[in-house]
Amino acid sequence: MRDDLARAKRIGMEYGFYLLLLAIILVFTVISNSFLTISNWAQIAIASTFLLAAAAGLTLVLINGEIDLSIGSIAYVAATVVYLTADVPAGVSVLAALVAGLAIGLFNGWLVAYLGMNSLLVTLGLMIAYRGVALVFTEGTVKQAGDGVAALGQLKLFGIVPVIFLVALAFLFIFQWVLRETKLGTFWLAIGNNEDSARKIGIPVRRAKLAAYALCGISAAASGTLLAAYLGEITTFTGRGMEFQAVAAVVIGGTSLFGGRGNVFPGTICGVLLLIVINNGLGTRGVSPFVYPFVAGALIFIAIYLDSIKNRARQA
Amino acid sequence: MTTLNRRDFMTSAVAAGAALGAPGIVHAQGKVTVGMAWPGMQDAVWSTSHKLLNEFAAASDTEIELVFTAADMDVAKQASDANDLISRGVDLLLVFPIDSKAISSSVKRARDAGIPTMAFLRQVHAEAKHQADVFVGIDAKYQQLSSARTVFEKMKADGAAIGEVLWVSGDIRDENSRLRGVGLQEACDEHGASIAQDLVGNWDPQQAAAALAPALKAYPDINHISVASDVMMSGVRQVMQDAGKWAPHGDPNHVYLSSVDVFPIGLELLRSKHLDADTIFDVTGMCRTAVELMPRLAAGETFDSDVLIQGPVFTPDNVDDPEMQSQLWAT
Repeated sequence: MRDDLARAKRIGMEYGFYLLLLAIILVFTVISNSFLTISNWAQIAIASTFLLAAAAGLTLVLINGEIDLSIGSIAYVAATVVYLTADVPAGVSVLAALVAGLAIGLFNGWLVAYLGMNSLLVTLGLMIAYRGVALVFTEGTVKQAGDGVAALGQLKLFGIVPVIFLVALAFLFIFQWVLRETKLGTFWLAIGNNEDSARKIGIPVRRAKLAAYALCGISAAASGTLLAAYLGEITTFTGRGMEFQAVAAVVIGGTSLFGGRGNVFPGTICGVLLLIVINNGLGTRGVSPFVYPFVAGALIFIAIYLDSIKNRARQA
Repeated sequence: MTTLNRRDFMTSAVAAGAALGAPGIVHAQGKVTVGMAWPGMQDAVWSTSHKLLNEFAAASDTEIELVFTAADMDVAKQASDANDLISRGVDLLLVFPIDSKAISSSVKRARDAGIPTMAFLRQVHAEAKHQADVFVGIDAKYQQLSSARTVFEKMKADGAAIGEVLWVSGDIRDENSRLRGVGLQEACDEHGASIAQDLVGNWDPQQAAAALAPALKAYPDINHISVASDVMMSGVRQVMQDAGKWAPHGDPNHVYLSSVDVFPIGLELLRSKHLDADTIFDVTGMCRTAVELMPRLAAGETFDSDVLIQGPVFTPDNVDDPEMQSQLWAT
């Protein structure tokens, strides 16, 4: 009997979140005629795109036991690069934005991995600095993306599936592959579990962390670029608050804030989906907009609470 | 409450003084140091108003020094910035509140230190205990009221059914957003319409899109969407395109759109007839008036009411009139 309870508890801890997501989808399907429709799910896909792209890279950093709070600002910098390169071909513009994200990611990683700076504090400060850089170039005003990039934002596969969503998904699957199928992924998990032990067994901790931050920078830049493509313009709100939403989605998806545990697929994808589905589902029912922050906040609290319990159990 | 139309600005100093029922114009002697507690520079209005205030201050007969602080949308930092300015002994505190209620404590500290306060653009919340000595801003309620009213009249002329309106609002902490909502409600009341749903866009096109998309599913027959600012219009456009509801006036699929601010995207959509009415956000007039009032407030003059600027409504029919064009600042 006690074994059964323990097993049920373990299953609940491991899979409860997925069951919750399924239950929420079922509830909205029942109470709203317009929820489970192709066009609504196309909208959910678009709404998820930017957070998915940003959360993909952040998952890798969190698995290392570190954090990057500058991802929203990196997204804004990348979008600003899209604006600054509006006159060149779309491919070059997108590449330039991703390279900017890579460069910032490498810089963040260098500060954390090689100079040993606290990732929370350093990326908190850089979050403000990077946004400031973007503001200098945009002068705090709305700027237009190039026509080519804006056209990319409108592409749809079979006339339904937004291509920008597929691009975000591609990032997620590539990062999941790196995490699960390469040595680098194993290094990250080991570092997140115990950095000292990882170092002792010869894992190149600094280089592995640098790689995680580099990928995080690219994925944040992708998020900003996709948003610029979708809207056809770059606003000062690009990426604002994205870091907190992304951390929430990643942790809800089962990645530990303490490192050493987590995955991009299905965890982070479902974490993002949960936040977006709740927002969308409440919207299709015409529920007060003030309800969403409460529901989302409660979910984030529960996810972090469960993460703490899991972490305590693991340490015990 | 005093309201000034855009055309009144050539004589706005006189108009403000007279209309406010001031006891008499008092001029400050010598230099006036004004501490600016700004929310940040991330928004076109914030950065433009900062620039214009400096330009008008430089051109003023009275020597005005503006000491600038920006809080990067952090309410606590804005309170700290205001404290620093008060400690520095400025002659006047010019606050552009991030949070309409939270700023009240900074107003009190300034008053305790004998420093008058001017609220700029965003009013201290009506229920807050300590109010600024004067508020210079846009008549936010009038903006949405005039824009939505114009659309309702157009719908009436077109023979379109007037019923429910989707409201894409701004930041829930923002008094301007709340007042624009009040203006929309008044316009709805005038025309027997109602607000079907309040969609919080937080002045962010991405959030506006995320909120509007499911609402269009919930209200598939909606024929009027009112947006609190053009700044969210790119998100609204995308969602409406995706929903197959993006068509110019005259097309059977046209959804009437009213908005506020007349930013470049608003002009573009007025010209393409996707947007039916857009009331301008007159930053130039507001900054000019604020600078005119600074020496008087610093000299101890008191004001009985707020100074609210009203701008004209741009429509597809008048958007390219030279007189209307002359009032644009955000293009």
